[in-house]
Formats: sequence, structure tokens, C-alpha cells
Amino acid sequence: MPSPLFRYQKLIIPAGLWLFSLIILSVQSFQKGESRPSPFSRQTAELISFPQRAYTYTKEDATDFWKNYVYLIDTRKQNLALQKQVAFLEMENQMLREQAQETERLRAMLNFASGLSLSTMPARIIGWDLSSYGQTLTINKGRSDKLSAGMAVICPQGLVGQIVDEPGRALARHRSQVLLITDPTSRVSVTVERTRDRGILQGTGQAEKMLLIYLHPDARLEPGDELTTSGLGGVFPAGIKVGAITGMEVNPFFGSPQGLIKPSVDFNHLEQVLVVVGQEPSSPVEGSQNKDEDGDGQKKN
Amino acid sequence: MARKRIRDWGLTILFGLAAIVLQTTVVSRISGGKIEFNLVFGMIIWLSFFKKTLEGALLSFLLAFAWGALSGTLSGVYMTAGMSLYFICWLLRDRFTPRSLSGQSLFSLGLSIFFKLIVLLLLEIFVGKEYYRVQPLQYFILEITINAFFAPLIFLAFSRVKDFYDMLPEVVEPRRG
Repeated sequence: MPSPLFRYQKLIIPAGLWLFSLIILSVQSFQKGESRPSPFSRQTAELISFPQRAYTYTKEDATDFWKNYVYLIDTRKQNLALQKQVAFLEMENQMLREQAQETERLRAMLNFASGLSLSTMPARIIGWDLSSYGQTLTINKGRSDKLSAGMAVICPQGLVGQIVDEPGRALARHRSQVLLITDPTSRVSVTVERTRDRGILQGTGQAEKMLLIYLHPDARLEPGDELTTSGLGGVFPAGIKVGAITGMEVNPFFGSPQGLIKPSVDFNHLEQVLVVVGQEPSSPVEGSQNKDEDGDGQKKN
Repeated sequence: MARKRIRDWGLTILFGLAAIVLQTTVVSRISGGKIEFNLVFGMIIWLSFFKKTLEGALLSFLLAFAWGALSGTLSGVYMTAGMSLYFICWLLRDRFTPRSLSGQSLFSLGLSIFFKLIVLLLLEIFVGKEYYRVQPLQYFILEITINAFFAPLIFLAFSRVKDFYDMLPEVVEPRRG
């Protein structure tokens, strides 16, 4: 007679794997912020980052190709009156306009970075999280670029988030995951510019809405008041724009005032970011003089 | 047989990685991050129905692991939710199996609701932070409907791959209990 273990082996295997997953989750949960991703998890994230990069770069090249070549050929066909010389000039013009826009965007980023007296490293966004509950993005820089967990991530419009290294948000050699300030687990100490009131900015999981909590009961804030990082806590440098108040309400449980905040960054159209690698004054793109404008370490012709 | 096993493993891992890459690049930005178009969801259901073997369980676990590793939340949440999905399908499989497209769609709609509730429950228990407030109800409903619609398409695509079924003859054709 076969043993029960043998008889139910088909049930035991999936049940065992399910239980194993639950144990991993429990351990991660009990360790709170202290648990780190397993090496296998880091490698998985690393493996995924290669096709992510390939997709990002291919998409950009294809878009350039379409905008600068295919689209123009099509236009030329539709406009038979145009001569070859005109088509060539249009194509050249289009390319120059694209380059001018790119230069303008990068110049804004560079001016912003140099004005902050921070050591920053430019990075490109190569992916987003899988879940509709997580608010994270993936950048093309990682441990090999000396990035570590807790580094602030900014852009010319303001604060983006911070680099994390947790299970599900692994920091790998060539990619890092950025926890956006809109994530429900994110907390940022902020100051209201006009009144100098301090509070904690809490993400809600929605890209357009955050909460300003732990305000002083006497705080008199108005819609339109701008928020900047306070520098308390040591993660985010002080004075970085975060967002503006869109409304005030009373916390239904504690009766304390809390503000509804619209982030200053448009996360849906974000393409490039700056990682704050140090606070001492130095070149804005330290170590990247020989790198190209998008910071991927490869020159483009 | 060994060659077929290697091919099955290779194909599943390849499809799984492709699904995850698609989800983290093209698909996630279509909705601006408001809706999770889930391709791995359909793959795990398919594995539990057509690969009711040790390999099916291990492959599902690998997919759930990769899913968790890139979820953007605590990785164990998606790993456990993925394995819960596998397990519930595994238990249901011998009891009834929808054959028509509409039946499969309704069935995957039920599983889609189950999966979403499990994710929310795990997030609430193990992370907190009131995740149930994150997604407005209309997006919640839209997400489960879209994922339920995509799952039978994944079954359809996989069933076109020659012999990409369980190796046990009796489970190639799903039984009715």
C-alpha cells in the first residue's frame, strides 16, 4: 500500500510551493525595511533589464527613423509639387528641430543640476513596475555606477523619489528601481514655502494625488502653496520642489488638518532623471564627461 | 521525452520573460500605470490546467517569482498570489473545466476577481497602507475584465504550439468531474 506522502504527492508539491511563498512573504514582512532581495531575485531583475534597454533604445531609434525618414518620404509622395531639394531640407530641418528640443531639455536638466550644488548622475528610464499598486520605475544605472539604496532621484520639475533595494524592488548591477514619492509606502519630510510649516508627504498610489499629513493644527495653508523638501531625515536634500497644495481637508480619524497635493513632476511623461550621488558641490554630471547626453555611456552619431 | 521536457521548460520561461518585459515596458504605459494588463496571469492558469505535473508547479513558481521580483511591491505578495492562483486552478481542474470560449471567459473572470482580491488581501495583511484605496473602482473593474478577456487568448495561442501540453495522456484533454 503506498504511503499517504506518495499518494498525495501531486497535491503536496503545489501546496508546498504555495506555503513556501507565504513563508517568504511573512519573513519579508516581519523584517520590514531590513530585508534585501535574494541574489536570484537580483539576477532576475538584471536579466529583465537587458530586453528593457533593448526595447527603449529600439523604440527611440524607430521613432527617429519614422519621424526623420519614413514620415518625410510619405509627405513627399503626397506633395508631388515639392522638389527633391525641398524634401531634403525638410528632413534636415526636422532632424535639427528634434536635436534642438533634445538640447533644450538636456540644458534645462544641466542648469537645474548645476544650480543645486549636488553631485548628480543622469539616468534614463527603461521600465515601470508590473503592479498597479506599486509606484516604481526602473533606470539604466545600478550598482556598477556606484548607486546605492536611499539616493534621491530628481528631475528639473522636482523630486521623483529614491532608489530602493528591497524584495520586489531590487538594485542590480546595471539597473535600479526608484520608489516614486507617490507610492503608498513613500514618506518625505517637506516644508511649505510660504508659511514654513512642516509636514510629511505621503503617497497614495495615484500619480496625481498625495497627502500632506502631521501638520500643526494651527497651520493655515492655501491651495497653490508650494512644497519643498525640508532636508530632515537625510535622504532628500533640502529645497527640492515637490508639489503644490490643491485643497485642504480634515483627517476623519484624528481631526487634524491634511493637505491634498499635486506633484510637480508629470510622472507619465518622465524620460530622464538625475540621481543625487553626493551633496558636496561638484560637476553636475560627474564622471560622465565622456558619456553621451542621455547618460548611457555610449556615444551616438 | 527529455528533449520535449527541455523544450517545454524553455518555451514557458521564454514566454514568461517576454510577458514580463512587455508588461514592464509597452503595456504598463498604455494605461499610465492605472491598470495592470496581466499576461502572466493567463500563463499560470494555463500551466495549472495543462501541466498538472511537478514541472507545471515549478514553472508556475518560477513565473510567480519573476513576477514578484519586478512587481514594485513586496515580492512575496505577487509570488504568493501567483501560487494561490495556480493552486485554486489545480484544485478546480478535476471538478470542472469550461470548454467553450464564453465559458472560459467567465471562468477566467472569476479567477481574475479571485486573483485581484488575493493581491489586495496580502497587501493589506503584510504591507498595510490602505492599498484598496489606490485604484478607483472603475479601473478595478476594467482591469479584471481585460485580464479575464486576455487569459483565453493566451490559452488559444499556447494550444497552437504543437504538443505543448501535459505529458500525461489523461490530462491532455481536460476531464469533467
